[in-house]
Amino acid sequence: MRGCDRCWTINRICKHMTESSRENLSSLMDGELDRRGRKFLLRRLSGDADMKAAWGRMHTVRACLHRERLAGSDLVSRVADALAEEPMPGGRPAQRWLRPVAGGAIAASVALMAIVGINSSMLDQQGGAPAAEEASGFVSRSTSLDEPFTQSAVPVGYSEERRAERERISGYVLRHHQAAGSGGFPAWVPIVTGLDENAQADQAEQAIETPIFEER
Amino acid sequence: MATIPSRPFSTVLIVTLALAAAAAAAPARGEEDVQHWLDRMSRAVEALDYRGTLVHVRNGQVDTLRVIHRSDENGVRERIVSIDGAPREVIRNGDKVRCVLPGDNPVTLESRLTGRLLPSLPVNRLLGPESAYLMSLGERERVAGMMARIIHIQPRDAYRYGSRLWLEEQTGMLLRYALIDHDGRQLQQVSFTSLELGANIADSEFEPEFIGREASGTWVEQALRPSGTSLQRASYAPRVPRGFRLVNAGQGSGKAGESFEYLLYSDGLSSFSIYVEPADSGNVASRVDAMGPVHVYTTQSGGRLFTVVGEVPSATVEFVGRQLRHAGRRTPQG
Repeated sequence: MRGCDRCWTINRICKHMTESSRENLSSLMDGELDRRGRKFLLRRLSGDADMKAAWGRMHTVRACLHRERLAGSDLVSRVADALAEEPMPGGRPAQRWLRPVAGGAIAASVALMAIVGINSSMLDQQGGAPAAEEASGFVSRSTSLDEPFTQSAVPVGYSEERRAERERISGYVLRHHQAAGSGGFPAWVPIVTGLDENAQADQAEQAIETPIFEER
Repeated sequence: MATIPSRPFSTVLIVTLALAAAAAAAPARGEEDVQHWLDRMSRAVEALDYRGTLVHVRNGQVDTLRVIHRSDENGVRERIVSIDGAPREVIRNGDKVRCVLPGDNPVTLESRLTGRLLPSLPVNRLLGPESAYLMSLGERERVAGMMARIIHIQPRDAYRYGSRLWLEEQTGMLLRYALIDHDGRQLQQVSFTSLELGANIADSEFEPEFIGREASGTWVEQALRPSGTSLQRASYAPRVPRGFRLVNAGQGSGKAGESFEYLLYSDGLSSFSIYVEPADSGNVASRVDAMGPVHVYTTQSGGRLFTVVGEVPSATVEFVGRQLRHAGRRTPQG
């Protein structure tokens, strides 16, 4: 038990560090620092080898402490505490048992996924030149259960109906991602998730015609 | 003398029980470690400053993105820009987001991110025997010049995807991410090829590079509008694959003011939504659409149009969609 005590270990390891640095690191680890403090400390951390080493060890120690606490009934109260701190949309107690593994802020950027994943043909508001063929990355098939009824539901080629249908589905995909988040993984993971296989081909065609973007 | 043999026996029994208990506790401990790593990851990804090149691979298709991230007293700023393929750009400043979408008419979209309806991962359901996933700490591997620890999140059945995460040992920063299916096949991978942690990032690096036509009042914007977060009584309760649970339900309205009902299900990591809107009576064929790993099942039954959407295998949306279809047939014009 003694070997797992946080202060003992850190005192031994971080003899170069000041007491306040240790406290700060500890606060950082516990997510207790405000933005300014966090910023400052992370900057320092990136340039200070001793501090970096201490940071790594603190995590080990914390993992150790974590395990010990697991053995007791303390876990329940810790989770409860964590929940109490977590602002929830609407603040309904019914959802208090939920806690983000990855911060809510990360998941907030999820809407982007679907945006980048949306195919160009779906965004063509004018409906002018119809996108050649099926929208890329958008694969439609009937289910085995419904095969006998399939023909009318999957029109061949482009049609206004199909475009509206695609918009409807894409709208729901966006809504779902907006509502559900990324399952806790960082912003840029979902951002690229929805990319279409054929988007590149589309773009290649466009690139031949005209430059699409003005560069600043 | 009869008691003598029983003493060592009871000792053996206690030792055996203790060993059994230790053995039982071992996987839980491993999962708790994973939990700890995931906690670190979420902090590192949001709180660290970094600049890096990210490669996304799916079906042999490669996309390269530049990622710039800064977190300070003014909040989080982030810019992600594609450096090959279609020009795409996402700039995030706090909860404000500006996206440039590719296409014949490139579109710029500004949006305010709102709170999501799915609050978060339920910790107690991701750990332990009840969980739909097996989590374990894997070996170490080098990614982008840094030593990383691999975290395995394996789905226990074919109704959800799993993932593999490569986390930098010192900070917990996510270096590589792979989406896998139940058979362990890799569906897609996102990986840093170079990453500068703790970088000094100037304001100018967040300036947009691309410009597109301003889009407003589009269906995209419409879809991004929050639908409200109240958990209402759901009028549908289809059977869903094990582990999924209703976490939100409510009503929203679409482009033309038509209203729909939604139900959001989650197992902690994977989720899907059901959208219900009025439709002409009569049965139209059901259909599954796929956008990468996202599957959408559409079916019409009993005067309702059901859409099941989620980043889950096709089997999951089909399972739920069929339940709804059959329920709709039994109670027409509900």
